[in-house]
Amino acid sequence: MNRSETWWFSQAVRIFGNGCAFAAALTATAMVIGKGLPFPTIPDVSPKFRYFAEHKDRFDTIFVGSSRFRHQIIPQKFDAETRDHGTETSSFNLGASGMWPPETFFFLRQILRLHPARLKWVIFEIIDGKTRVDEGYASQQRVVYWHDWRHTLMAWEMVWESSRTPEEKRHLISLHTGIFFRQFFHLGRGTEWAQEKMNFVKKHRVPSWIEARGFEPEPEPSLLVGRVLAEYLSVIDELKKPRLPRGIRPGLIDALREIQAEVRGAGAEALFVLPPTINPHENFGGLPGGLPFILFNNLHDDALLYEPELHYDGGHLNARGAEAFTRRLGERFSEWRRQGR
Amino acid sequence: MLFVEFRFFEFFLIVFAVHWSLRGNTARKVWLLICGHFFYACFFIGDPLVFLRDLREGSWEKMPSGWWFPLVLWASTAMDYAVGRGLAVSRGERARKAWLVVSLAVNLGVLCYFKYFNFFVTSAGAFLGWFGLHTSVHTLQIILPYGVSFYTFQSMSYSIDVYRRRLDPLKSFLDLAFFISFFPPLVAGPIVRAITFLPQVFERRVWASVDVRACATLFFLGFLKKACVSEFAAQIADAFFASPTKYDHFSAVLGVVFYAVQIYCDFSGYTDMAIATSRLLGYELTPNFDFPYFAKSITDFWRRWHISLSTWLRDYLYIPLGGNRGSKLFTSRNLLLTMLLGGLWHGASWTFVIWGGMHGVALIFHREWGRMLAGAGEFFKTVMAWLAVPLTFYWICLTWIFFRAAPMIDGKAGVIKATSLEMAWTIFKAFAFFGKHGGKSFGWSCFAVFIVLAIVHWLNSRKFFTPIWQRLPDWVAAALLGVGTELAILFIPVKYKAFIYFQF
Repeated sequence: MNRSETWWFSQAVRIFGNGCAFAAALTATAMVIGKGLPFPTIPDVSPKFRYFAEHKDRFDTIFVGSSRFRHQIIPQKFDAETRDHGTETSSFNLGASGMWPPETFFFLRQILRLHPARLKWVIFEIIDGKTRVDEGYASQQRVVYWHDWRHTLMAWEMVWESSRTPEEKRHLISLHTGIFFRQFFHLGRGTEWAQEKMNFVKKHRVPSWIEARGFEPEPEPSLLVGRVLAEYLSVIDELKKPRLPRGIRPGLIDALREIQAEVRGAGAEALFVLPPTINPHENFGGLPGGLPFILFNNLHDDALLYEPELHYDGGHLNARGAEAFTRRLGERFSEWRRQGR
Repeated sequence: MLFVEFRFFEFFLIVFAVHWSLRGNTARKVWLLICGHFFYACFFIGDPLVFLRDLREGSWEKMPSGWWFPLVLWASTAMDYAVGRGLAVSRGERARKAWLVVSLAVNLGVLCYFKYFNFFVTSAGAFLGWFGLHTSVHTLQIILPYGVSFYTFQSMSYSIDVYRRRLDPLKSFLDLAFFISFFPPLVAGPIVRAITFLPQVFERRVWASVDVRACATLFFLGFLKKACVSEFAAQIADAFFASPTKYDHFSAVLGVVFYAVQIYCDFSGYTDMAIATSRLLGYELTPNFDFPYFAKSITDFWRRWHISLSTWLRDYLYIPLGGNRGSKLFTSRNLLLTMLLGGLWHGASWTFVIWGGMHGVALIFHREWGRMLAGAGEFFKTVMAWLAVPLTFYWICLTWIFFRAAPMIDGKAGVIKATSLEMAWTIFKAFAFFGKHGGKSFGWSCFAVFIVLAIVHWLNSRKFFTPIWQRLPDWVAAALLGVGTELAILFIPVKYKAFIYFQF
């Protein structure tokens, strides 16, 4: 190597070394800060999380899932039903609209980290995640907050196993990776803290779900009228026809097993529930051995839960429907308890 | 793409690596010219990959509305190149002047059309309306090309300096195109002067002259100012300027002061990043700010604020008008005219003209004040010396009210409830003690933040941190920059506000 090359080489080494020092310090600082950051402020999700964190030792049963839990399970009714069947429960509904895997798994893990002393049962919704993330939402905290490495890997797996085109898969994996970095480096978390401290954030009203322990009914009136109702009835007729059950994505099965193990590690038991659904892709027959489940996708066994009068829209029950579903869930939960784990 | 976006770092890494890998000066200029146009295009094509896909598929209806912006840039460059060649071959003064007039007419014509056409039309309509002559005003849907205010001024600096024989006309079109399209200052300054930049274009840049550590530090400080401090200050300023009468007087002061913080940190932060980026490529840009809020007078302020614009106006407008070579009235006229046009450069609105006018009046007053102070007693001089900085800052804040004021629009009906001027006057009254006040308050925590920022800024102006920083080994400095970057990322808001000076 001549002198000029030696000089260039030393420059390159110097830049590389300093670059590594920069990257190491950046990463280490992000990791240290991450350990101390509180749960982020996210509409719908953090108020429930914070309320539960303050009252975690009051409840022994929690429901974790999407709007199909949030609007359809009434904890007080569930407790009354289980009491009537000989099991005492004190439940809380942690369901949030739009909460699908991997977010549900992340959220439950945050709940378990609180070490709720009395937790006995975790009722977890069987639902597969949506692989798509609208670019406009990619920067929102609701999407960013659950993108730690573990759940970003889960998202990659979901995308990879999906039926999307290779170009779409590349784009989505790249999108999830970008969101992971936003989460890892805690983009904007300090601003969020400063905004709260300096009263730039509107003071939230006391949530209406506190008395109902997390349950929030769908609004009135129902959307199942006219053409929408006709379409719903047509779908119901179609679903009543005999059809072969579908298998569940292997990646989801693995994720359910992992979460079951973690729930058991926390001294509780997980029960996986599929609420009433007209989604033909959710025509599951059940879960593999070792994963306890209750399915409400049989239109013959649970015909009442598919009556239009009990529905807000095709995918969600109204307040009356929620009562019916909760009673039924309480009944089947108690039956599952009686049969032993 | 903004300097604070992650994709800019990806972009610049490639630009930097290829630039320093290329041996020849011409190759490097061509490379930076291509990169400059890509950088410029990203402002209006959105995602480049999506744009290329639409282009491949022939989806012309999806073409972005600003696709022709680079044509304006090239047309301006080509015209000034032709003017330069024309000046090179012209012998007589009349011919030379004619070439200069062509350059000024075309550049100013472009600027006037894109930026001021609708403003002139609506203002003329309003003016005639005062005399009872009601006219039907037709405005055009004109899109302002990004950076037009900056590159037309850069372009004019070339043709004017060639005319004045301070610069030799360029033979190479590439050199002129490179100078005008050089991407770090392209869309929001600093305004680069041909006489300072072109000598660098002729010489092959040498890596050994690049102080990477200083550049990285400068970029980081700019990033901190723009992405964190300015964005934070914007929340307070925006809240106040949207509903000024809802806040108490203390908060009115804070609202305006934080706007002063916002615009300084936004603009100087961007400039710092532009200068650092430029230096990393081996090119030196002149500093654009010198702690303007510590100015002791309005004259001093304009030596420290947007230096590239103020010196451009001084050299190409104020001095040609006659400068201070005539009577007091003549000098005052020149000062006022320069500042009025300087205000108008910022935007097509009477609030900007008023802003410029206020500065012009202050400059005139300061000239007289200097004469009056010379004859005053020592005690008075001492008191004024102590009050110089806060009084100057107070006046600057008053002028920012007009600069920032926007019309109040009823969101649902889309009706203008108060014009910019009316809003500016309302805020002016709220800030200067005698306006209507509400009960809302930003609280003492905002004031505490301001005090901390002011102390850090003052220490920085005294170069307090510089010796400490320079003593650290490179790897320690790099690690501290890593820590600082993560802390800065914590305080970046999720959605950025565009750089304020992009709109100019």
